[in-house]
Order: sequence, then structure tokens, then C-alpha cells
Amino acid sequence: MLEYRDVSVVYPNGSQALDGVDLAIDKGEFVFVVGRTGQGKSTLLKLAYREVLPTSGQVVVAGKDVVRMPASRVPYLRREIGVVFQDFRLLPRKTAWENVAFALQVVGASRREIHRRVPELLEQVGMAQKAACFPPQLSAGEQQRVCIARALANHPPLLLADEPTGNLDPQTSLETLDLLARINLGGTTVVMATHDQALVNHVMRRVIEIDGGRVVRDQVGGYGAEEAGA
Amino acid sequence: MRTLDFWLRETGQNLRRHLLIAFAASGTMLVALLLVGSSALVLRNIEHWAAQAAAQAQVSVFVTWGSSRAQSQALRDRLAALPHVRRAVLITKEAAFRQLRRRLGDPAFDDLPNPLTDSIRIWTREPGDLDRVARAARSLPGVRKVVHDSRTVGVLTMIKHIVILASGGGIIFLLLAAAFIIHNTIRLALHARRREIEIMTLVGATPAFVAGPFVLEGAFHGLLGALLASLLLAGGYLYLLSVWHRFVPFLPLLPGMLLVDVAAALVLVGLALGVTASALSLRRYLKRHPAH
Repeated sequence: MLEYRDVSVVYPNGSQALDGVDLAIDKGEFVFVVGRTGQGKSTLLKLAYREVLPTSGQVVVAGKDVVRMPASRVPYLRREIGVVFQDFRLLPRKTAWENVAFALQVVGASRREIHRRVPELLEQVGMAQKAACFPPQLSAGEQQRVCIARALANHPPLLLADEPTGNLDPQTSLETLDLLARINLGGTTVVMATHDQALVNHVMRRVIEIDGGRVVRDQVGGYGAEEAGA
Repeated sequence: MRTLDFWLRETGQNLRRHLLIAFAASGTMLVALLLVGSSALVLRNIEHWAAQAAAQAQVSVFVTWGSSRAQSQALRDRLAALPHVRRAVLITKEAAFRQLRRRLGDPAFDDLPNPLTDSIRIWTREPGDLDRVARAARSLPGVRKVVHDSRTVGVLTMIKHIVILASGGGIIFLLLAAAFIIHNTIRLALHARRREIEIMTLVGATPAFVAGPFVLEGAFHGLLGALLASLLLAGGYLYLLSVWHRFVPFLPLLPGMLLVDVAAALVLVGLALGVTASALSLRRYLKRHPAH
């Protein structure tokens, strides 16, 4: 589903975000990308939806070479990837319903399709009761749920979540993680960047650790009992 | 259709959100196009008058005293054969005298002897040929006097050039100002909606889809300015038409149908300027915020 082949990223200011990363994430996997702030987790995710281009190497999403893809194809690539952000990035002047509908409108979905799909998505993330609320009227956890609903709007086979629990309290973080795990059970590949060890060990999935732009750990089953306790 | 619906709603929302700026953009376009339109109306009428004056412009050649009718006829034939001459007509001294008496209208002149000579009236192919033909006629034997009036056409042509020069600079300046204001209005709209644009591009909207509402907004400013300018021009010109003949009966204005052409041209200019200005803003914005 997602493959990085010897990928390096050096930003224009000279800082090296990634250094020779080789990774393959299979369809239907749930993967944590962990590491301290500034080690390259977000860059790894941004490469997948071509928000960032690698300095060298190859990024392949669902069999498509993202780097060589013409710019005109990028919108269609992004329709196959849902993205969830730490700061939610909801439109404050639109209701929860409208925020989710917006993602469908901009790809040309019909009015009927929007009216069928939006309630379904809000129901899926447990926000059907608050469809008419504006983002400032929602708690951080609720806003993140709306953000997840929006990311799922176009049935993406791949969901990228960049520190989705960074602004949430521990309990809400666990609820959000459970939601992502449920989405994964439906067949969607989920890649979640986080630096929260407790969260990683809560579901015990594959963990990829990035440090100094390099992959320093790639294992299944969380951090491992010894480190979780450390 | 769905896309257009979305664009129209987004454009409407943005116009409502920045009413004052929208007003300034359409207002400047209105003033600029008003000047373009009024200059066009003035120029079209001057051209019409100049063409009329040119059609009437002629050279009168008077034969020497005592010339016979056959000599007058021969001179007419020679004049008709000159280059640039469209038509040459012999006016007999009897016909000229009858015309003079009719014009004077006083029966006291009826008993006077005819003091006139035969003359030949010449129409040239172009108004600019009047002087050349008059010079050629003067050099022919049997010619006593050559009279022509090239001033009317000259004065009208001069006025036309003055109008073009005087309004030209103002028009270019105002059109550039209007385009600049629209350009900045769209930049502000892009800035105000950077969040929406970011989300649009993230969920897979194409650049054309993102650009749509902004191009529509630019077109709206251009179109609104052009329509208001056309309405004001039409009102002003129709009023002028109703009173003009009282003050300048000898120079009739072109009929109101002329307004249709001018309004159509203004709408085209307004739309083109609005769309170009917004497209330039978008290009600049998308260059700074590429979708890679």
C-alpha cells in the first residue's frame, strides 16, 4: 500500500529530515510511526500525499510512483488518502456536517451522495448528535472525530494521522485510538504518527521508530513489555 | 453543474464577507469603463461628422470671364480626368444665378443682370485630396478662381486626435487601476480563505476547482462595473439625444443603437480585465503554495 525506497529529504534550510528510509506498509496494516519531535515523522507522512517531495528515493502509494507523478494527478492521489491532523484544521464557519460535506463537494459529489454519506460518516465517528455544531462549540476530542470523518469522506484505502492525539487528554486519546483501530478493522490502512508510548502499547501493533531521519526500530507488538514498563 | 453551483455559492459568500472591497473593485471598474465608453461615443460621433463633411467637401472652379459654354464644357472634361477626382459637374452661370436669387429671396434682385460665370464643382475621392486637386485645377488654362473648404474635415480630425490623446492616458491609467484593485481584492480573498484552499487541495480538489470561485469573483467585478457603466452611459446619451437637436441642429448625433455596440464592448473589456486580474493573483498564490 505504501512504500519508501531509499528516501532522503533535505529541506531548503539544509536540515535533513529523512536519511535513506526503506519501508513497506501492507494493505490493511495499522502502523505507529514514533519518535521525538523533529525526527522526521511528519515528513514521512507528508511524502505519501506529496505535500513534500523527497530529495532522493522513491515513494509508492497503491502502486503509483508519487515522486514522478505529474502535478495534474496529485489531486486524484489525495482522494485516495485521508489525512488527520493534530490541530484538526476544521473550517470554523462551517458546522460539523458542512465540514465533512466540504470534502465531498470539492471532489464533485452529487447532492444526493453528500446527503447520504455525511450522516453515515458522522454516525461512524459518534458525532451524529452534534452535526449542527460549529467547531468552537465542540471539545478537542469531538473536533478530532469530525476531522476523522472528513478524512474518510472519499473512502480512502489509506488513512494518515499526524499526531492526532497531540491536543487531547489521555482518555480522549484512547477513544480516538479506538476509533482509528475500528476504522482499520474495516480494511483501511492506518499510519499514525505519535510520540505517546502508552498509546502505542494500548493496541500493540507494528511500530516504526524514526530517529535523526533514520528508521531505528521496526517491530510488531508495540514497544515491547520491557520498554512499556520503563 | 454541481461544480458551478459550489463556485457560485463560494463566490457569493466571499463577496458578502468583503462587501467594501468588492464595492471598491467594481466602482473603479465602473469609473474606468465609463470613461472608455464616453470616449468611444464621442469618437464615433466625430468620425461620423468627419465622414459626412468629407462626403460634402468639394472644390469649386470658376472659368475666366467671357468663356464660351463649349470652353467651360472642355474644362469640365479636363478636370474630370484629373487624378483623385471622383466627379465633376458643370454649373452654368444661369443655373447658379437662379440658385442665388432663390437664396436671396428678394424680388428686387430679379431684374439685375447675371454677374456670374460658369463654374465646375468637383468631388474628390478622399477628403485629403481637396488641396491637391485645387492646386492642379489652378494650373489649368481658362480657370479664373478655385475655391475649396478643407477646414471642416481638418478641424474634426484634429478634435478626434485631441479626444484620443486626452482620454487615452486617463483610460489606460484607470483600466490599470481597476485591474490592480481587482488583483488585490482576489489576493485578499485568497488570503482570507487560505484554510479552505489548503483543505480543498488536501482532500483532492483540482487546481481548476480551487481557482473557480476566484476567477468568477474577478469576472463579477468586471461585469458589474461594465453593466453599471453601460446603464449610466445609455441614460446620459439618450438624454443628450433628446436635447441635442435644439442646440446643435446642424450636427446630428448617431442614433441610440450605437449604445448596443459600446455596451457589448464594455462588457467584454470588463470581463477580460476581471478574469485576467484574478488569474494573475491565483498564479502568484499557487506559485507560493504549490500542490507539488
